[in-house]
Amino acid sequence: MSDVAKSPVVGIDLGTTHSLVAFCKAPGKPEILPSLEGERLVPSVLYRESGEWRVGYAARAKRSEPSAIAISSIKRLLGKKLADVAPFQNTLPFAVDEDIEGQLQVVVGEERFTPIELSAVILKFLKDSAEKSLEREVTRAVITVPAYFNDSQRQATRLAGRIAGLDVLRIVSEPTAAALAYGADQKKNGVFAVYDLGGGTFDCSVLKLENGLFEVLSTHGNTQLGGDDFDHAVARFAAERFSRDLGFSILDREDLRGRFLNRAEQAKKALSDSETTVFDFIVDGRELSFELSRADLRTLAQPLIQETLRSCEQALTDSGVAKESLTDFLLVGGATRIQAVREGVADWLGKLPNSSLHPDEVVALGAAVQASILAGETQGVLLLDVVPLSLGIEAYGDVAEVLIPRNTKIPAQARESFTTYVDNQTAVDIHVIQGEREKASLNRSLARFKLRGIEPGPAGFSRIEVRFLVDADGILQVTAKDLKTGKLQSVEVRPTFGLGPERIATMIESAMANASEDFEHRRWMEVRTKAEPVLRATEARLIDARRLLPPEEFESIALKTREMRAAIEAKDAEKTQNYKYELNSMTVRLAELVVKETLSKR
Amino acid sequence: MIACDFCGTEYKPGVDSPLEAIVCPNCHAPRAIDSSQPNFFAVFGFKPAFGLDETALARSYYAFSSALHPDRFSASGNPAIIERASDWMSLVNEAYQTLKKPADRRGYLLELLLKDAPKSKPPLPVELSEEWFTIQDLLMDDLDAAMRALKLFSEKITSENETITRELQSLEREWDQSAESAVLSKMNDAMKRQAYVVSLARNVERTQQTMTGANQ
Repeated sequence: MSDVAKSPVVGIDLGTTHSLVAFCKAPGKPEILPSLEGERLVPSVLYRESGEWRVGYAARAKRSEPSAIAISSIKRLLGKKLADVAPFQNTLPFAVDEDIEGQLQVVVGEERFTPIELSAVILKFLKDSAEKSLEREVTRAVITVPAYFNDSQRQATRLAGRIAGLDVLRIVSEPTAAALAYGADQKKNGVFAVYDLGGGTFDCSVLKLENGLFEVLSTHGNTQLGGDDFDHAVARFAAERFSRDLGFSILDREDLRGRFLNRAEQAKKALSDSETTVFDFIVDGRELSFELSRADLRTLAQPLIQETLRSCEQALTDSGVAKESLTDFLLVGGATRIQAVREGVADWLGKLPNSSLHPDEVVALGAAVQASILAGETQGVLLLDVVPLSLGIEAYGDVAEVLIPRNTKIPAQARESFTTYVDNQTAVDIHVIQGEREKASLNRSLARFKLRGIEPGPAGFSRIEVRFLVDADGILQVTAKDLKTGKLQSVEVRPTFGLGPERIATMIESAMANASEDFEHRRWMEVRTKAEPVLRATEARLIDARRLLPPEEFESIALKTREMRAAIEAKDAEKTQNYKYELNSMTVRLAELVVKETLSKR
Repeated sequence: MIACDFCGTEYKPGVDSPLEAIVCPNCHAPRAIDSSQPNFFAVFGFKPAFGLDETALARSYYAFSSALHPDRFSASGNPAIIERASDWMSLVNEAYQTLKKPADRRGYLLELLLKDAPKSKPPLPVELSEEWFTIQDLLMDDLDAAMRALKLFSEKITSENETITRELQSLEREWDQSAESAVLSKMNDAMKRQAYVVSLARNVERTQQTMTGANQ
């Protein structure tokens, strides 16, 4: 089996609209690995066909078929509950529901899948792509997420990785990854802001680059704002226009919605290259059209762009850096191709932002750089990351008590003491929360646990020390200790998303079992495809060999062909591969002699 | 001589830099953090002082990060080394973030220096609290007048805060030169007064927001 300790670590950008996998073949030199479809991008689209998943362009092509249900934008659902997605449920091209445990599910025909399982299918596809490209088993990865993803969204991503058979060494923020790719390549020092407008999320991060150190100063964002929203704005605008003729809104028709949203996306993209575009659409045999201009898109995009700039202001304030003193302002994410976005940013910034990075690829490349750092292959480059959102506990009276404020550098630790507040209290509830709201209940609940066995006494008699530990990976561990009795209770905050530990274990097991089988099989097919022509060619020349070579040399070649034939029948990839190389070198002289003979006969 | 916990190499801790004193010259793993945790200044080898060369601090921080960040040891696959590095790095991170900001640095050093001193109870600015109570009464009777008074009061608090900051800064310079403990108790009083003023400012701001919200 392969040496796990030395197995390659790949970088994965698991995006809302498309995903990529990258790898550093040389230190600090990341490159995109081609997908199983032979492309650089993998559309984050799934399609279910007779119990099998299709991923990528093949699945995306199904989107235009009226009856087919292709699953896209799954990232918008990761780590969420049905109530969280209700506001944008009508923009999803598929049905969602929840199970009895309150777990969000995507309805695919008769089947139901969690967003985590669906994300795992995409990750598995990327893993297979990387294995084919690198010709090695891939079991370790760094995966990027939006900087403003909360803990449950990050943990959901991590779990999807595990189900896909990947040990996720690190979850890295997308704008940080972009900066890593930029900085590793350009070797620049200074303070940079990264404006990352992806398909479904927006982030702004401020980083200081100094001689290979990437210090994240601050980050801010919006996990509900992205390029998709521009499509929706265009779709709403167009539906409004058409409703004058139709007497109804196309968006209210479930059978037309998916196709109409696609059309809006196309129109938006067309405006990146030209001033106007014709927005046409066929409804019940009626052909409708109007001319959509860049000016229209600009008006529609304005509120969204303003929203992103507010996040940038906040990130800059938190970092203590003025926008005038930024060395550069980097644009990443597919939606930064929109002309109106570039103009809006330039107006606010007072100069042109840097749009030279490949908006779709730079995040995956950065993930590969971090992967290479963790594999110990890229030295002298290090990422000093922060927590994106404040971590704390619920104090008496629904008050959020922050222990680790947002933008604190990690690894980090903090402790805080509390006293009992009721007479004869013997247990205390620790409620771990994440977010910026002053009221505990308005923040996201990460975990609850109980510290029992406190010695009874008057209120304030016992002191409880709560300790937070965040490791370099952003994983939080919380410990509560009764300072009087020394009693200790500790939890690692790892939400399970209603997936019971058994279900998770089963999913991982089946993924792992399939993973190595799949890998072995693919490897074998590749080896055989390359080996068989060599064997056939040699066998065909055995008659020449007997005539042209000394008997002992002929015998050893003949023996090798028999051994190789046996190895192929036994499906032994290792031996087949070795025999192929040996036969190749053993027949060099034979080939020369055959060529010489052929020439002399002319 | 001490022995490295991970590779067993015996070495004499370096004395030329604080970093040299904690990492093994062979495998680069750091030794255990002293059970009596070093103070934040000592971590970077700085003399405790209110004034600090912030460029030198950043330089030290980067050097420590490069040497001690757990990701540097990730490829070793040894969880014990990674945990040790992680412990160091969280101490280094906390120390850096505390010392970097003058106000945080002041609070930290003052607490450190006055650890064993008797707790003092400085007089609070009575005139400010009385004015605040008057405004709160006024809020019940005449909202417009109260809003005007709030605005004036908020300006007064801001200027008071600035005065205290200047006073603190001059006391800091005084202590850095003389190291006289009398200066410290003056600083302590000023800090407590400032904390009161800051919390007052927050209350004023909240009241202003609530009232504007209720007005609309």
